[in-house]
Amino acid sequence: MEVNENILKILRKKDLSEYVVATSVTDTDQVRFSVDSKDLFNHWSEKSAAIFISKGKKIFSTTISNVTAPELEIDKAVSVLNTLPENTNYMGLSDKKHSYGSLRKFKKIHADIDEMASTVLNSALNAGSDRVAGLVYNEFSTVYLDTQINEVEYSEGGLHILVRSFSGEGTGQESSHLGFDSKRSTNELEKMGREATETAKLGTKFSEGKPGKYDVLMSPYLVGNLMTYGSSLFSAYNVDAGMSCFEKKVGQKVASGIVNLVDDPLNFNGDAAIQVDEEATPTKRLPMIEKGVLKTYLHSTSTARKFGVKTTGNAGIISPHPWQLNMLPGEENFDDMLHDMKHGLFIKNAWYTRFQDYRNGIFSTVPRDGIFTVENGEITGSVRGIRISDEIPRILMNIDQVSKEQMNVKWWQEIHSSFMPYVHVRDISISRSF
Amino acid sequence: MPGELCEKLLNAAEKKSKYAEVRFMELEGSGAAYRNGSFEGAAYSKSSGYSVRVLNNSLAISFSNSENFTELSRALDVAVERSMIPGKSRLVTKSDGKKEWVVSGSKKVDNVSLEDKISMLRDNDILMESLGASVRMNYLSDRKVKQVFMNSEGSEIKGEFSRVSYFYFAGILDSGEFEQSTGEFGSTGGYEYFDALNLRDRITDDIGSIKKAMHANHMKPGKMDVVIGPEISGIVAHESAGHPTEFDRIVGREGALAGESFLTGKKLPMKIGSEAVSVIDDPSMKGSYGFYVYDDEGIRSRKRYLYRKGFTDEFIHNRESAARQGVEPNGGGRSSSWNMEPLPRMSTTYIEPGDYSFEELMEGVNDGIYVKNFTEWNIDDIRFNEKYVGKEAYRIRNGEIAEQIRRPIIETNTIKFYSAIDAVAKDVEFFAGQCGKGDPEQGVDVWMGGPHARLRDMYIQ
Repeated sequence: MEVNENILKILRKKDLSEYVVATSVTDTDQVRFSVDSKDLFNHWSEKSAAIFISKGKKIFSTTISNVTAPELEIDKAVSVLNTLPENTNYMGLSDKKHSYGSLRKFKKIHADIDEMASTVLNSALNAGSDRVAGLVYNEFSTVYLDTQINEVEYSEGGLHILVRSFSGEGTGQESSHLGFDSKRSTNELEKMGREATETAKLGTKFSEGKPGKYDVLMSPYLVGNLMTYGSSLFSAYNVDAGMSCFEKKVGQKVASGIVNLVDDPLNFNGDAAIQVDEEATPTKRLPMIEKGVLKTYLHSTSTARKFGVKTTGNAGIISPHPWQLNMLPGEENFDDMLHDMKHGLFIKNAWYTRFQDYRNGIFSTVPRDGIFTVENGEITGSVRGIRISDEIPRILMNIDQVSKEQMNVKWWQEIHSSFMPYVHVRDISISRSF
Repeated sequence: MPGELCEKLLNAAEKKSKYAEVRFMELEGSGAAYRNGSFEGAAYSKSSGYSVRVLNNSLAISFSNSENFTELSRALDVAVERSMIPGKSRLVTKSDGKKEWVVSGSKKVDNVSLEDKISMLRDNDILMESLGASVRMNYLSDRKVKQVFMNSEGSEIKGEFSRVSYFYFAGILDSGEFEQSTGEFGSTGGYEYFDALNLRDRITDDIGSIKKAMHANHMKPGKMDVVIGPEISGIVAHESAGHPTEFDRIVGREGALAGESFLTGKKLPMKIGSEAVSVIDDPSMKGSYGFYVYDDEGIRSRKRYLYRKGFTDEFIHNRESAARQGVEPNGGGRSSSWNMEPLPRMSTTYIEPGDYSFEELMEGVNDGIYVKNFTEWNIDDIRFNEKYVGKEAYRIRNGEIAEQIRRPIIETNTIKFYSAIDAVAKDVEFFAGQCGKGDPEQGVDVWMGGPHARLRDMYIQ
């Protein structure tokens, strides 16, 4: 790409086996608000280049912001590379030439984020909130990516809206992401603000939670949180490192038969959609769990060669990762799932998920923004002070209902952009503070 | 030369705003990693850019890494135009004058060869393997930072510092059982920090303890006295004293992200624990991982009591939150990079040491547990409901350490925890960490620590 030419000219003269140059040009805006008004407007205008070089099994990565005069940094990188030991796990970049003929082109979404922030803020306040907090993003980047055999230009970005509402002790949160193909409407924004406040106001009859085993109806936010933290367990890097509970589980049942999970990078209804991975391999819709059976780990070319399979288009060259998870809809209506619960908890969101044992997937997480007791299909109150303290493999196996409804969920680093349904899970371990 | 446009950009900004400031930061970092007996790779990054904040009818910031003044002016104009729209517009605009500060350590990061760094990683990987760890990750990194802060009130603060850090993960697999452990160490300065750290001894002790822990028994839940180690004191000080006293959380500014505080809406000062408890945040502690002389808003750093003798005391402020409370900023405005807004952040947060020896703490316990350090932990977003799972822990009987126990759980709330402390030891130890906050999320380097302390009548699971 012309944008990378200053860098490429220098790299071509060096004695290297491989290189990747990815220059990102970013144009992003954000409005933040809290209590009853806006706090701050932020604007980012950035250009920087991420460079990966290798010589045999020696590898080095560098990021530079001075892309017009990069000689010094590149000279330094190459001289350092020559002194390094080999990475015996490194198996090389993709050597497949791609044409990228069908790549879609995008421009930054035209949106008045000030107006959007006002709409969602006022909607939450008008529904009776004590106070509100949130933000609206409009993110856009163009990436110019070159390897020795491929060159490609692509765009990524979208809108992200977050609103949290407070009413007495109760809180409610709605948070969505919209990609280049998403339809946007003022009604949806108003609905987000209103529903955040309705959830907050539902939390009126609070009691201390009781520890034990519960059937739990999980909202798409909670499912998104668990899958965000659990997703690293699917990476071939973590499997190879001995850090995954899914080691030696490809082809085996790892979830209930009604669970279907795909990585969905070409779904432009979401803002994490991406068309090529970090080594220029085109991405694709990738079944990860089909009818409860683990189909594959997530691979780059390097990890794929080590495992004797093909790349899945999920580079991170060294550490592959998912782009945009999608737990496919099931057959139940959410209303019926709630109505059919005899005794259990309906939990809308969680945060601070931490593992005490990655190999067995043992973790705990702190529910928030709607923790309700359910008796005979009715929400009867709210609880405080509880945790989900359980194991990822057990939760996946105990899912017995998946909803038809799905939501675009994203929140901070706690929920990566994804599409998630409501799920009902049997016998979840709940602990509490004493 | 990167950074040379600060003054010109400030001149342009102050003509278009009631108050303006320009920040420039240059961050140069390098790192290397070893995983399971194999060198993983090395990385280097160099990033610099400007942040211009203007105040008119509201606050707006533009971030740009261009060194072209026309492009910077364009970014400034975006911020100025947006700052004319009504919004919150309070900020303490004081100047601390013209100052310069430098911290680089005696063994400067530029003077330590990559070969030496890789040797350290390899040696520790070999050590871990010899101790029986089948899963091993070791990371070593250093960073040099140059920063300039200028505002329309005449402030011109220039700072330079370097930091070094080490992180490891170790996992032991035996008969289907697995135990894992992490260690994180860091300092502001140079590589001299590692000379006195005894890292190999620490790793040896840590892996030895988790090897024993995996064959220890879980204990029966119940109420008992607990002695906690400095690592637990540190995480508790950070999570349930530092975070809830960040004043932007108290007034709701982080409400949708890192959360509010259990102090939100409360009458202050508020009693949070026993008289034995004081918690300090001190960015001026030399050598600490969170050390700085001036914060990222050009305000001189100083020690602050967050809790004093069981009551809330001072809060952590940046220029914006100080204006909300009507006080002077106290040097808590930190930003991890040129493209992140400064927020009220911790630096080195610790429970203040008391008068007891470790032996005296133990002597007062007939039947209890000693929880030396932790593995899994978490806390709710108002920083009240918290959990710490013990990594190395023992029963105490008649004032003596007895058998090792596996993963005891302290799951309680902030008031109960601090109220249960009846004695605090003289010793103090610090541990490094990354603290996350804001959106985009930004991690800043912190130390957290404290002494051994004794808690009475806690429910342990």
